[in-house]
Amino acid sequence: MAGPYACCDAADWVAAWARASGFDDDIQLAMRLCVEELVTNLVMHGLGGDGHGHVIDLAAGAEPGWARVTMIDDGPPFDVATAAEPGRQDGIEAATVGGRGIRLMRGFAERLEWRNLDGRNHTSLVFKTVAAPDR
Amino acid sequence: MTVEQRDGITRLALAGKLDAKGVDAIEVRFGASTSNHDKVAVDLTEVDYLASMGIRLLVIAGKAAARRGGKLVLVGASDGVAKIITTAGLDEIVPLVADWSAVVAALA
Repeated sequence: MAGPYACCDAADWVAAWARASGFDDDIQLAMRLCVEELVTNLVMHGLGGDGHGHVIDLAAGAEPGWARVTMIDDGPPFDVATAAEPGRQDGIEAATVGGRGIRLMRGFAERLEWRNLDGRNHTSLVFKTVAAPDR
Repeated sequence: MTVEQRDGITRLALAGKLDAKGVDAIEVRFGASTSNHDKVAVDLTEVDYLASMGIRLLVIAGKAAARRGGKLVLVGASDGVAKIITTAGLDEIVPLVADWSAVVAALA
């Protein structure tokens, strides 16, 4: 069930999964950040800032060289893969306060995918993975 | 979070994760500490993670400083945090500098 810190809970979960999967620190950071931004975006913009009464399903899987995290939610249809993001901003006075989460996901994930199935969003973050060096 | 005055600049040193939880923990004090000063430096040396909620906090403080005719700069970001800042485009609107001498120069 989505709570006030669903984004942090989801980020902690995927970071632990990435660490247990043996991915290096950069991939762990990228997965943590992208999942946090995906859930933050959903709760703030899709669920009106309050996730109560909604369920967010997350699943992660890996194959050699790749990892995929998929979020399934019952928010309004939202294609994160094609959504607009703020353009370059050259002055603090005119800058938007928010809107940088999509830019972060596009920068840190290899690919974003979205489908609407059975009235629910299926959003996937795809990452190229590198194993952590032996310690 | 620690706050001090140095070289006529208000220096705020943050630590840990600037995610939703981290921002909630410091937001009121951060706002109060930045609201009456024209020259503000946010030291990110001890920050190991920055999410969009933390970026919002910094943008809001930067806009407030600009409205007063002042300026806010960021200093000391690790490579990982600096990559988040540049990917988000935060450095396009809030200067990111390497060390204290660059802070002083940016706020001169």
